[in-house]
Amino acid sequence: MVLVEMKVNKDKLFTLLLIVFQALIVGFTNIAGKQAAMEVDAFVISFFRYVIGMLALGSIVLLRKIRIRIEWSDVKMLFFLMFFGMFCNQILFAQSLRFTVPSHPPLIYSLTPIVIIFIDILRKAEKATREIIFASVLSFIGVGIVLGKNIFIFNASILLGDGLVFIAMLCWSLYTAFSKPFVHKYGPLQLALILVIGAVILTRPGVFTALRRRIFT
Amino acid sequence: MTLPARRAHPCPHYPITDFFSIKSKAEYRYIRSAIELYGRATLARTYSNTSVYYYPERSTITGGLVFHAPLAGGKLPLNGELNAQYILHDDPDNVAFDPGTLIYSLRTPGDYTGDWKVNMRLKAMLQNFSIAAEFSAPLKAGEDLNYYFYEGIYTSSDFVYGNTFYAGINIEWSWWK
Repeated sequence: MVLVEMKVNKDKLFTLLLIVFQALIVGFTNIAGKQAAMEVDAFVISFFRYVIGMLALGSIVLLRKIRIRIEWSDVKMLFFLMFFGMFCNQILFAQSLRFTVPSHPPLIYSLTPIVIIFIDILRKAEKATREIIFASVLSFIGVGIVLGKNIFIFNASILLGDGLVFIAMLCWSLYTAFSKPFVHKYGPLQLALILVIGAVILTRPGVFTALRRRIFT
Repeated sequence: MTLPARRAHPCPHYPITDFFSIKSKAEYRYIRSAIELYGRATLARTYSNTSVYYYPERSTITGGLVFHAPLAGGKLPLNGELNAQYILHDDPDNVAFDPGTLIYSLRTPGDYTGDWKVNMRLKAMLQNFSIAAEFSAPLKAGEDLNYYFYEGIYTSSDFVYGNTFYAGINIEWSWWK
């Protein structure tokens, strides 16, 4: 009995460590991303991020010999998920880092659950109780207080960056809210691969523009 | 005396002569329970008398969504729109502006360039009071703040105003008797 408990605790500890490790990686992403965004173009960063993702996921899918079949009726929603969740979210996030400080994006992204709850209320999957509305308003006020000093003194650069992150956060919330049935249907790996391939195709024109500018100027 | 290159096109006679132009729009809406997704494409072409009428935009492809949330039993309607656009237009560096005739014209037709733009609008209404937040920004590879605030999508050395970054909060109160 004691051994079983210890095993459970070890598993929990390992999960906790994984979460902490993931939080650290996410935290450093903003700092490293800021530096990368200052030197490399947002379209190029996103494009190569997707290409690496596509190659990694594609290799796993090939090695596991997983077959991917997309149902025609899902194409519209998959395109929507790819467009907002992969393409817009990533480009806007990378571009925003050029103009804002690295601490703002995670703060704005912390509003994601609130937006998802709001989408669920729209879909009538959740009721708009007083508690939810009160908590949502408090969250927005909290973020507004932290960011407000830059908005109300019209620090144009940070306002632009924060605005882009806010839209990126809305895109990510849409992706999170609407992707659930497709994750169950296709599997997380397959869904990610399908969407990443789409994002690579859509990011290409921006990359060509960026590279042409870099080469010819 | 030879006129400079930018003044080489004929000056318009007012009222200006007829011109033939086509503007077409196609839109597809995919309605879900909570939101409306849409894809839209516009195309603009002027076929004759381009020296008196100039429109820089060639084609715009838009992907976005609209939602209408009747919160608090419809007493607090919240409307929102979010979209991303790919605007295909003439290369601004090939566009000339004649301050004498106030006419824009294209020096070398056919050189198109594309730009991305994102737009967002959220509007909440409570009886005759409404508050709306708007945000619009162009996105272009390798550009700095100067592009976002002063140049924008259509700006060349001849254009005064482009399609630049915009953020605003509109508060309206309607009153009637």
